Amino acid sequence: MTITHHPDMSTLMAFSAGTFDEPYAVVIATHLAMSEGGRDIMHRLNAIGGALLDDEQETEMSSGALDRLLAAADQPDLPEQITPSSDVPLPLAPYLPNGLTSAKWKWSGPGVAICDLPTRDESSSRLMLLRVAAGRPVPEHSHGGQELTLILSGAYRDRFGLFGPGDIADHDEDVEHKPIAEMGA
Amino acid sequence: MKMLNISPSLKWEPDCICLVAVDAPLSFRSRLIRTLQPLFGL
Amino acid sequence: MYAIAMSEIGSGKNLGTPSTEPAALLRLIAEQGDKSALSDLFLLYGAKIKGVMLKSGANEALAEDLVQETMLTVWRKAGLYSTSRGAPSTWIFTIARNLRIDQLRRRSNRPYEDLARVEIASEAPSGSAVVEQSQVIARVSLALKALPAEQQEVVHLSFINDIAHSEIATRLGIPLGTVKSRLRLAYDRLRPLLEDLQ
Repeated sequence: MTITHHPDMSTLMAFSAGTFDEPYAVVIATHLAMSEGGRDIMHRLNAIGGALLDDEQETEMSSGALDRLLAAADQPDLPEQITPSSDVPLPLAPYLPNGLTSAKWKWSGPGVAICDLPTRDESSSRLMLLRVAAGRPVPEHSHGGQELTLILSGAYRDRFGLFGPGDIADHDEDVEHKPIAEMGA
Repeated sequence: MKMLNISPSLKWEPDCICLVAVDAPLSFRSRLIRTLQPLFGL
Repeated sequence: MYAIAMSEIGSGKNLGTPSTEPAALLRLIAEQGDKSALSDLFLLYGAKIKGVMLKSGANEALAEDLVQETMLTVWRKAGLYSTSRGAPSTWIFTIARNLRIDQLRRRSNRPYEDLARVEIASEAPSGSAVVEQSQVIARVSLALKALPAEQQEVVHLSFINDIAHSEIATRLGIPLGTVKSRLRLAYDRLRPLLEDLQ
């Protein structure tokens, strides 16, 4: 899969820092699951956090904290929460446990359907699937706030070029969309 | 790498399916319809 | 301090200060379930993780709990650490971050956990050795300190204080676009060093 449209670097930095609301984190994690080059960049960005952690001022732990840790280390681990496999990339699977076929589409205009994917966080942002019929023009629309659009299947073209599976359109009202063109691969 | 594998039997198979995150919770649909209206003469 | 005494007894070393490389400690945990290595890692990172958690908005008790959770995850997942996941500090940062997302902000860290599983499944052998990774981290940290103050500020507010870009903009009274461009400029400065990690 050749990914040609990547998120803005500041978007990847927000993901690395962990400050995104769940819907945005899901879109970026799904994109990264589809993009090895994107995962390489994410590793580099995580190193910023690693360096900052190294430099962090030490705040003394309470007495007994180490004992508590060593005692807890003896306890058996809880079983890991396993995400069921599905026909979508793993980070998206918990939101579509029965795959894309289970999506409940709502008509949203000619050739356009939407399927809301509920998230657990209480943010005002929203995660959804958007289905556009083949051959339909994708309208240019103005964006209120940040909008991340990841192509799962099919393709579309806009003034930024052709978007295929794994590609992401990272639009923001404040910043002109700027695809990152520095991928190593 | 886990690839997206969509069954060819799906009737929207040639369609474009996107995963979208927006931070305008209620207005997206109305905004989309608003932008679609002139295109389709609704 | 009792913690140091524990470490002495556990590892049989002459000093409480850990003298072993973090990556070697992780290997000891993974291969031998060595609890003295866990003690040493705790001494290296615990107090720093606590500092980060307090700055992220945790109170004293929650910060302590998050340190416990982080170190316990390090203990349990040490076998999954490999150099292709970056320096130990980077790996530990991501563990702490995921727990912070889950417990401090009541958001879901599931996308991060599932992405980590994708990475484990597709992991390619790493080019650079652990020591090099740690040296790169040291250079990144010097470069971070050499960034213009306004770039350092947004990097810290985002990565350490756990504040969303839009809220950084509000706090600093600058447009969101300025927050993002400062982050991009910071990355551009760090990029030559970060690319050494590959």
